[in-house]
Amino acid sequence: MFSSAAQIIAVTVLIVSYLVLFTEKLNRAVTVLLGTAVLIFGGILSQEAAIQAIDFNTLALLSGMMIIVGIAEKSGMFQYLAIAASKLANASPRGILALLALITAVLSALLDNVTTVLLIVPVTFQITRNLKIPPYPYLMVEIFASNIGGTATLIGDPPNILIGSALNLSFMNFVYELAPLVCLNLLLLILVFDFLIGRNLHADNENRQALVNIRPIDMITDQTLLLKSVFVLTLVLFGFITAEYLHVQNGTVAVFGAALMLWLYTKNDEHSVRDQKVEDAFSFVDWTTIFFFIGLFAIVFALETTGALEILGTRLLSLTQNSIQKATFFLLWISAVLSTFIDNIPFVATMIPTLKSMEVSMGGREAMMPVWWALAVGSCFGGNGSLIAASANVIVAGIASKENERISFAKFLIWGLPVMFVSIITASIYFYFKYFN
Amino acid sequence: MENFSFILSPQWIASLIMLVCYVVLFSEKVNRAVTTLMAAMFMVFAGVLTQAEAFGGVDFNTISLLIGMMIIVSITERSGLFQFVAVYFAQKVKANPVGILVVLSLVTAVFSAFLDNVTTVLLIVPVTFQITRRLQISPYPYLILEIFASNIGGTATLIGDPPNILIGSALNLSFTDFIINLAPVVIITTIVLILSFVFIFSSSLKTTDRNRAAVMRMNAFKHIIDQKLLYKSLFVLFLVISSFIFAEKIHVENGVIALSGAALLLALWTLGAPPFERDDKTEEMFNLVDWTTIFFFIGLFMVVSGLEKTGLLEVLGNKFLSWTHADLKRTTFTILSVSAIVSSAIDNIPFVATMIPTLKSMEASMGGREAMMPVWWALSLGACFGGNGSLIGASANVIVAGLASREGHPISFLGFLLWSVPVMLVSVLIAGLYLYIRYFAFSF
Repeated sequence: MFSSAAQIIAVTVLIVSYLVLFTEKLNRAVTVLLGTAVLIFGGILSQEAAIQAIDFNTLALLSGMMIIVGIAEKSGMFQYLAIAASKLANASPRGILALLALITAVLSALLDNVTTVLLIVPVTFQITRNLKIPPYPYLMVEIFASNIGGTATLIGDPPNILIGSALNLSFMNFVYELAPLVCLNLLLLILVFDFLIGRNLHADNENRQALVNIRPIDMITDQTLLLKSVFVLTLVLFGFITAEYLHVQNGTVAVFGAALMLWLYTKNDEHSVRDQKVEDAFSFVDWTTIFFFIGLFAIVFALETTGALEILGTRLLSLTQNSIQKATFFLLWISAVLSTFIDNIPFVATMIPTLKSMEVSMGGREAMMPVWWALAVGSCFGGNGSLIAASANVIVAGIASKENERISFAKFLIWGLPVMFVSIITASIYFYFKYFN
Repeated sequence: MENFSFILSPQWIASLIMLVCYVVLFSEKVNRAVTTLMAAMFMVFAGVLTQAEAFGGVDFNTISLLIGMMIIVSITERSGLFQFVAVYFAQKVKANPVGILVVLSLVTAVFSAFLDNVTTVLLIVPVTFQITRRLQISPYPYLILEIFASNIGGTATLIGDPPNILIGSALNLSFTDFIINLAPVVIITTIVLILSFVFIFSSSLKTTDRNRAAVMRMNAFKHIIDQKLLYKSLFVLFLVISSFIFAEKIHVENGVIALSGAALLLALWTLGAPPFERDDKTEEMFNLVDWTTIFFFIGLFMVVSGLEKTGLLEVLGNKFLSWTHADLKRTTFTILSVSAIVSSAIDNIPFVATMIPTLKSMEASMGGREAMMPVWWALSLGACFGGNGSLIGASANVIVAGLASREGHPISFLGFLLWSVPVMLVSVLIAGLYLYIRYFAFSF
């Protein structure tokens, strides 16, 4: 199937890297960086191409937000939110599970998933630490909710942003076509998690009572910093929402926010203290995750430039024989399965031109819309399939490992794959009744 | 209306942002990474640059080279290699104070050719204190000579000093290019420097035999904390440096070499450790990268590329050309002296980063890149040697002063000037002579 040596090497590097990631014999950042090194030293990828492969918008967004969130955390802000949220659910572990899933889904529809999990995970750890319950189920359900919730809107998930900007679709187009499906899936997710895990979660009454007795306001340790953090976060969130109109990308907004935050945070300190605080704040960034993304982008890009990804895409589409219905279901499943193993951004980016080239033979863009929605839903929901399928998953695992909670690749699959399959089955039924009945 | 658009033109906005950025940088009122990042983002908000252009302006080869080398050095540091070498050589000269002055400065010069200067002095200064304390002599001459040696030694290689990394990456120069063109003058300058220090201090540096015996009793091998790591580090360092030398032949750029070396050393270092410890160690090493410097560079690259896009640097270059009449010799020596003076007063990195596109824009009128090389070497020599001019001329100087004052031997700004200005002048003079003899004397 793959003709040139370059394609074979690119595919081999991808497979070997994934095997190492799967067995966890090496640190994940080190694994993909070594994979990239093989590609570059082997002449498959030039340094320039590797740099071109890196999605700097995502990296800038990620590091900027991590710095802002890391500093904001010092004010006691997330502890405040955690206490307030648990009080809302009467400090019941079961109620909190459902509540956090819901909040995550809504936030991720409005913000990108990366920002969402960066905001919600610290809150989660505060709550589980207070209640002395395992954070694991909460983190899992948050990952799933963020990927599902993000599917509902144009800005919720990177594949949607790509498809939306390629076809000039509006915010409301997405909400109208996809929101019902997303709500259905979210409901299903929460019910299943409640049934399997939530109802078995118990916390000591003592811990619960202690949590209910805490006044949220007492959690604020640094009021000036809180004001600064709220100011910067508001500005940044406002920036994300208006980014389109301002012709500025999210990465710029986040980096500017981080610089502003750092400045406000160290404004009144003397030189040496100030520079030390700034250097410490740079350590809030999860560098392992950043370097993991860098390597991953480069490896998948090699698949793209050698033409291996395109071969795969055209091969697969030729099986649909120009039938819209076949193409829709085929794309839904294929993109879900593929997004489980490779980051969905390069996959969607490759599929867009391929699909566009088929418009004429499929009866025009209007007629082909179900296929596009299938691509969006498949690649977004597919993000739940494995730990490396979507950025949010990687980030949650990264933060969790900083907190000494390992989410392993294999352990995640046990939950991720069923969630992914159920959501794709739901989507298939939804698509059938909505477009083909 | 015309006036209005004139004020709001990208050129004006860009120069205004740059001006404010540089003023804030030199006043040190705000952390330098924060300053350049904010300035860069203002350039994007103001529409001078798009986000993609801003990232396109960043020289990621330099960034990866810096990050990779920082990781390799932080891991190697843990093996105790550097301290071992310092003590070993101090004993080789029988703990003679003057001999130690010579070997410590030589070790500093050689290390700083391969490590960044700040790391070099951070490694060498504590050992210096250990030795001078045992000898019961003043550490002062040792410390200032180490400052000078680190700035001069770093000039010899592509990776020794940030200006060289910048220039090398912008012009696609190889590791060997730097060694061939700059190592001779660096060796000469180092010899002259050490000889004059020996001459000046040979009579005042005296110690008793008992104190010397105390130094001889130090166990050099005690400094080797982790022998296995030592071999791994040496292996990776060897691979990395030989790849630098053959970079052109294997068609791989230095940034990738350094970063791949770092990944390899991380893998070797954490091999066999349990997953938790392994990931913690890896994250710790990533955190040990000097991110303030990295982000300072990223922001600075963006600001300079904004400036470049507006054509302002070309205007500057043309002014410069008309001033030197596009004469190669004149340009070379002007660049050498200007960059030495500027670098002794302010951080040489923004200066070099701004000069690179400016000089590049002059290439056509000067007869191409090949012909213009002496000017580039002059920029490197001026900017690096200029760092010796004052206590704030280079980061290594500031670090040594900080360490010294913590140990109760403060180095004052003015006291340092007494030594540093002559050293800077002599070294730039030697550099000037060298450039003249090598590139101009025999060609007409």
